[in-house]
Amino acid sequence: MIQARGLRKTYSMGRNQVHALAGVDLAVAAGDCVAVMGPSGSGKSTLLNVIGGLDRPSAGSLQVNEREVSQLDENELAAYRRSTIGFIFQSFNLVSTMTALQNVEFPMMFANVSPRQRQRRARYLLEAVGLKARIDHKPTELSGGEQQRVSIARALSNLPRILLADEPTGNLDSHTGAEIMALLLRAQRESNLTLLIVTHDPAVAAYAGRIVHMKDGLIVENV
Amino acid sequence: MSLTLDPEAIAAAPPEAPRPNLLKLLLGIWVRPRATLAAVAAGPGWVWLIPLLLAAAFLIGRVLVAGPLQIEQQIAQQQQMQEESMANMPPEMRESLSPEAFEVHQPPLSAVITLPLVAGLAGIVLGWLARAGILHLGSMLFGGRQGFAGLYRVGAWAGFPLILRDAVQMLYMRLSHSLIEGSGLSGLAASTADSNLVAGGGMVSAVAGGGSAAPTALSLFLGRIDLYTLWFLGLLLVGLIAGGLSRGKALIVILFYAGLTLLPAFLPLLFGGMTGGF
Ligand SMILES: Nc1ncnc2c1ncn2[C@@H]1O[C@H](COP(=O)(O)OP(=O)(O)OP(=O)(O)O)[C@@H](O)[C@H]1O
Ligand SMILES: [Mg+2]
Repeated sequence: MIQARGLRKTYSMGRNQVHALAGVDLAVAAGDCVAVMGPSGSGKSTLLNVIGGLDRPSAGSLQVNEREVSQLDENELAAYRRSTIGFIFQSFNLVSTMTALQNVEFPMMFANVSPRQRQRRARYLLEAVGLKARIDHKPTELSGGEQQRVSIARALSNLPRILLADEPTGNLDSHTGAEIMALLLRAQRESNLTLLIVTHDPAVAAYAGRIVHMKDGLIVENV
Repeated sequence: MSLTLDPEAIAAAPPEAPRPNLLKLLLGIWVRPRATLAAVAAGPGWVWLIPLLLAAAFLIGRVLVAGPLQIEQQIAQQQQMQEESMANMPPEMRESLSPEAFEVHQPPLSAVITLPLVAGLAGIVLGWLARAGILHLGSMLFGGRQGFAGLYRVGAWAGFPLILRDAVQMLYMRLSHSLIEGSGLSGLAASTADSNLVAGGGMVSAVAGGGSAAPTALSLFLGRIDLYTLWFLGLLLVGLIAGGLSRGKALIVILFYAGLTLLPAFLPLLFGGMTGGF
């Protein structure tokens, strides 16, 4: 499903060049759950962003569902992000002025989902992640764990095939983190998703079927 | 967490609140008020039209039944007064009066029907808006999260006991062919044997009786409150609690609302007290 070959991402900082990805080879089968670990600055987030179409690779090939993502034009890339990928971030990235419901509806506005269907689906998702009673709450009125549940509901709203989670439990205590992991794994199982999780926490990585270690923009260990 | 995250299920996304069954709501408001008011609060915007239509219908019905009775009563009163004054009048004076003096003046229909109707309907429209506004403000002050529209619907449905009161009064007047005297719990303040007003009349209660005896402060106050009103306030309370407000906070909001709506009954009292009489 995901096939990266010699994937590179180079940032130019004045004269310096930062090789955030220095030739990554990675294959992930559909429905797999992979944890990505490694020291800070090793390129984990960059890898996720490139796979998710938020960033373009500088070189190399990235195939997702037999499509070459690096060749997509802007519109195609946006469509790819919308329809194929669901993102979950460490800092939740919810819109603070919107309610939980509105946050979950938001991505669907860009995917031609009718307003009625948007609302239904958002309600369904929020209930499915256990937030039925929090539908009208704004992010500031939610705990970290609840905010992350909202962002999981939001990530699932456009029925993605791949869920990319960048340190989803990084801002949560271990108990809440375990709950979020359980929810992610449930989503992965029930939605038959491919799940990539960046984490520093070995306990979180232990949930994954496979652990990939990165260092200096390269995959150094693939267990 | 029983809902599956299967994409097909997500895409199908059945509406989380099942379509409200009107019959169930209409029954539920009497027997399962909490669940019913919660459903009404969440329910589609139009559910408030049901109590509105019923409230308007029974208001019209009550006024149409009471109007002719009031006319009859007033005519009877006039006749009685005339007869009394005639009886105390020397015959020669009585004979010198023109025939017009013996005519009874029929009160205009507008006074007993049009006016109460217009006032009543305006009261529904404005009163319901004001009620939702007060509840919204009150619940917001306590951190409640129910919106104006939801509280408007809850208020409208909590008002079913008041609709029932109109219906019962209409039926009572229709069958007994007499106006309802002694309103609300004012019978409680009655010193004499007409305390049966509470038991019997109490269930019918609460139209301004038009008794000529000067009302005491207590009877005026109790006249504004009857079992239906207490029931209504209780439902409002339940509705606020169902909307997520704590019992104590909801109670304060309701007392505040009740105080505000009872205030108009006290104003003439205060005013009357200051100017030395009614
Ligand atoms: N937009 C950018 N411009 C310049 N350099 C960047 C940019 N984004 C990332 N980098 C650099 O690329 C390298 C990899 O960054 P990345 O965010 O992928 O690391 P990471 O493994 O996610 O680290 P952490 O665990 O701290 O989140 C770092 O040296 C970082 O400074
Ligand atoms: Mg990172």
